[in-house]
Amino acid sequence: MEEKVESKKPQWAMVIDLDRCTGCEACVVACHAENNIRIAGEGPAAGGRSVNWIRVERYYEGEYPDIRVKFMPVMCQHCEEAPCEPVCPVYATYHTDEGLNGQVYNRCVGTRYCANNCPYTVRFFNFLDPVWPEPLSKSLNPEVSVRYRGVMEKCTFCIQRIRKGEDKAKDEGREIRDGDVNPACVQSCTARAMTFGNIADPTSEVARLSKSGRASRLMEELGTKPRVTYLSRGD
Amino acid sequence: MRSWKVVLILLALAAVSVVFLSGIIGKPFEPAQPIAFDHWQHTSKQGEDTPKLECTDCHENADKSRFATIPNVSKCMICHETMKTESPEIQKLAAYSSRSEQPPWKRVYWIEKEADVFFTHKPHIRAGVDCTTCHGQVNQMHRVKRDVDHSMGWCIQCHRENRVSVDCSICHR
Amino acid sequence: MKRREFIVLTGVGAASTTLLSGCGNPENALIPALIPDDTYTPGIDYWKASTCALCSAGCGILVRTRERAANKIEGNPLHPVNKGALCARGQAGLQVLYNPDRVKGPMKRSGERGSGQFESISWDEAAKILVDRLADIRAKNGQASVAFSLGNTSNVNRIAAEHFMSSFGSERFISAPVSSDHDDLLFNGTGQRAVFDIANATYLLSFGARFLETWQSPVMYSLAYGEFRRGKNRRRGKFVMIEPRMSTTAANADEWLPAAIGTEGLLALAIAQVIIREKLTPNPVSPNVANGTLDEFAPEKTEADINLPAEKIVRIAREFAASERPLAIAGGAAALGDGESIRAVHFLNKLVGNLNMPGGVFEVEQFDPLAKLGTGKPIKWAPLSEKDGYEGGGSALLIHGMNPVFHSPQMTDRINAFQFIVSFSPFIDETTQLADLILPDHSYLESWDIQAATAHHTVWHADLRALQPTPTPYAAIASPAISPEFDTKQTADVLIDVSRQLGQPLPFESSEECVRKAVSEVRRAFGQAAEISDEDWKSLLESGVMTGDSKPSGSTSGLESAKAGDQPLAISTGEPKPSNDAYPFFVLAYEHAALGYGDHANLPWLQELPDPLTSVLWGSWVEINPKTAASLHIEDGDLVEVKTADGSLRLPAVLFPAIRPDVIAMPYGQGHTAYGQYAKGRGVNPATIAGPYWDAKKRFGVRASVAKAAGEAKLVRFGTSLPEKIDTPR
Repeated sequence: MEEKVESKKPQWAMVIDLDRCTGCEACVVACHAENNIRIAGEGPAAGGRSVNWIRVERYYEGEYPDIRVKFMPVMCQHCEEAPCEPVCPVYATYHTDEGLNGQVYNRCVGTRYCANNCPYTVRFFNFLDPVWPEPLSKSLNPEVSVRYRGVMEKCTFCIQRIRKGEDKAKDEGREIRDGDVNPACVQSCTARAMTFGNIADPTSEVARLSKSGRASRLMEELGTKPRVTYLSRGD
Repeated sequence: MRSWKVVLILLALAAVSVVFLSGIIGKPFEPAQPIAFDHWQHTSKQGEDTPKLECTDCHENADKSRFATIPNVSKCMICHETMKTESPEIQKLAAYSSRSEQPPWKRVYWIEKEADVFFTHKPHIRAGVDCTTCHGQVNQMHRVKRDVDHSMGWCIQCHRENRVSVDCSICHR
Repeated sequence: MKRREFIVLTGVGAASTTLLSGCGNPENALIPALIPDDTYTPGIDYWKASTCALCSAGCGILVRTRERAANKIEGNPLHPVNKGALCARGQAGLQVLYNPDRVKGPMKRSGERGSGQFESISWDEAAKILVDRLADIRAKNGQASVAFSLGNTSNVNRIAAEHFMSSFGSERFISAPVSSDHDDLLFNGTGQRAVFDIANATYLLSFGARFLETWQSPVMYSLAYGEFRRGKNRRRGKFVMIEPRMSTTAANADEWLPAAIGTEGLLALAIAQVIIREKLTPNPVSPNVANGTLDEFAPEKTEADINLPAEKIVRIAREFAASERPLAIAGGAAALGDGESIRAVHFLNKLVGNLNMPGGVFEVEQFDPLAKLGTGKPIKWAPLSEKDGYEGGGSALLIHGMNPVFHSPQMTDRINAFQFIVSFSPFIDETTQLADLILPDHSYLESWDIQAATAHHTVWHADLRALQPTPTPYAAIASPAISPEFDTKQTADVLIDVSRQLGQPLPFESSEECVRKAVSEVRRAFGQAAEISDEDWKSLLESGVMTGDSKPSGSTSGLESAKAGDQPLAISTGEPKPSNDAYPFFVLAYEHAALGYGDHANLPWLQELPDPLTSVLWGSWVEINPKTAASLHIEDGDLVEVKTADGSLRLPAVLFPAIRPDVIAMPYGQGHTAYGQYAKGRGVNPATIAGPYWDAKKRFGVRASVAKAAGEAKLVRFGTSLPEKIDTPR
């Protein structure tokens, strides 16, 4: 048997350069398309039930006319010390050996404790079954679950694309390397603001960028140790 | 107090479902197929004019795809254009072929969609897992029956024995 | 059965029945999908190259298909425009293909015109109706009585339409006037194009050009912007945006200058005046201004009109001129009036000498091998707004890729005057509702097409130790990513069929043959054998892109002369001011970044995409400065009435901190009265009060009043609960 548990698993991480990010939201639609994210519809959206695994936060600074705006894409930060994990009574949210914050839909019983405990508000609960009027359902990605009523969902760093990248590397009999895996948001990014890779590999682009002088992590003070690093805007 | 009740109810339900499930899964599932295709005859029958095929000769995508795939009728007809054309079963096959149709084969193994399992043949073949490990001795069967219980525990046991990752996200995503 | 239902049902004692029905029913339907054939293996991704059709930028895309269905669109890394990236709109293209409201096959009108009642017919019957009616109309009214209105469509469809009309003997092409932008105004509509090397600029002044969202080629310029900010071995560029209302593009600027609406040209000349009087560039040449001398445009004299402090203008002028590679671009509200503002902005580029220089403006070399496939006669486009274009009682109108009834509702009567209306739209939009015959086109993902152009890149040349512009001619081929979802037909193929029946066959037999012929022309232009082997053809369809040799850029003649400075600039001080008491504000109707001018309002992903600056989704809104709103006693979310001389609209107010107090702004996009379940009956259509989007020369100067209205407003916003204080990335 060749497929043994490797001693050193890749450790997935992301770096987002806020100086490049334009707030265009290409990542948001890319994520919807890749991950079978439901269309809430106007009514449920008005009730705060639209789902966005990745969203673009916006902050105004200053007063007219000297006003500036900051955009910041926010998705699951895949915290090393994830507050959502210990509160799950059924281990539906857990930490993988690749440093991902995993979510097992058919373990989830819908307590919503995890969402309650997430400081980044990136977890979304399915209050209703999704509706995909025919033939819209044909655009569903066959590599991703279609979530149903009663379970929690959130960004997976496109686990299906990670598996595909790992499969390719194995086919070629080599270790995973930069460029093998890109989540849908990173792939689409129109200003190349996002970088994804194995932070355990010191030669990777994410490892290099996460040591930048502009680097910081969201709400670091909480001790969550996010796997997403932000590079601040310059002036 | 309340949580104890929930746990008790869940346990009771689990017990009930185990009884039901084992009742169904216990009987070998052996659906009648549109053509009485005989796996033994194609793979294991000894003799001079027997094909002695490998599984992947017909299920040719097991090493490439998520699915092993069922051969197209056109593939069957490569041989059966001329071989055993007098057999009524082959005549059924030829009829499908002439109509450019595929026989409505019945599935023997499947995973419920709700299980959210993304099983992929390819890495299992790459790792050298024999087809019979998961599908039973299909090569000895005249009509295919479900011989192996594809429960999650069964998958995990094999993964553990072979020191393959048992991370949930290997199968569920 | 879902696990949750299982729990619920067992709870009420229905376990046995559900369990048995759930498990005793193998998913036989999946079996056909598991059978491979010569071209297809189940479970494997196939990537098909195509060209995005959701705006006119023409980004290359790859469509991921599995089990013969398309499930993702990504940018084509080989395509020189978008290099693998793709915007929100482009990603939503799957919902064009699989939209539940698509027209499922040819139809003819069965009720009163405009009633929206149609009955399905066969393609044979549809072709017969078309042939008979056209022959009849031609016999009675002459050749010119047939008009073709062609908007945003594929080149293959356009070429086929050209031949069809030519063989029919009519030249009455009606186009959607391209919204007046940089190129048309700069080059006086000669079809020449300019491209801007934003990636290598060190100082960027944008006069209203929303290059990160909607202007020209947003993905190409977004990629360039990323490099402009944080490219390797580059200093971070400074970006200043001049715009009356902060767009998403302006939100990315280091400095936002809300100059008074319509004063972009004045500001450009004020900056030019500072550069010249302070001799900030070598050999500064003064522009030829029609009204007096440049000195009259000094910031100190124009600051009140521009409504920016003179010191600020002087500082911007000094920074701009002192920067290593400064660049100025113009669009949006700068197109107000006769486009003189755009010429004035372009004069700044001339002044700092960046024409055809790295980080500057390039004149695009024409690469148009497809011209050989056309009729050889240039199409004479009659503008849609030209009245006699529609006075065709007793005549026929063929319409494709346009929805004038929505974009310019005032035009409805003139379209209705046509005796016979044929729509090729894949959706029943407002114009198609008036049609007598609907011949639905494929979606672009089911169609053939080819595009050719010159891509401009500036690369670091190691030997010369300098940046070097390298224009590269390329062609992009789109082949059907999947087989047709419905009983639709590519319009080119319909026209080929109908022409044959009318006894005037077109020079190609199918859309595919048209693309093959075009590929031969491109190969000839690239110095290759015109004939293409089957193997090369297959690999070309897979990669989707063919590229010629890069040539160092040559001509700047167009940029030098093209209206850029020789003709006097007709800009005067005292531009429009909202002095009118009845209408104290300017209304700025702008293109919605996702929904465009409304053509994408039927895509639920884009409807549910929060506007980056206001977070509004699924509806319309009007942005009002909080101080203005306070003076009018309007609160955030209130229903307000916006009135112009043309009419009034009721919509929710959004208090928007980044808009001039004398301007109110609303996006185009909503207000459909047809166009399917996701678009119909949602929000309001600004075209009814501010005019059609293509009339940029007028619409940025429309005056309006705004007042609180009685009634409940429907305003849906995407709420996040992250507190402001966590904006910690330092």
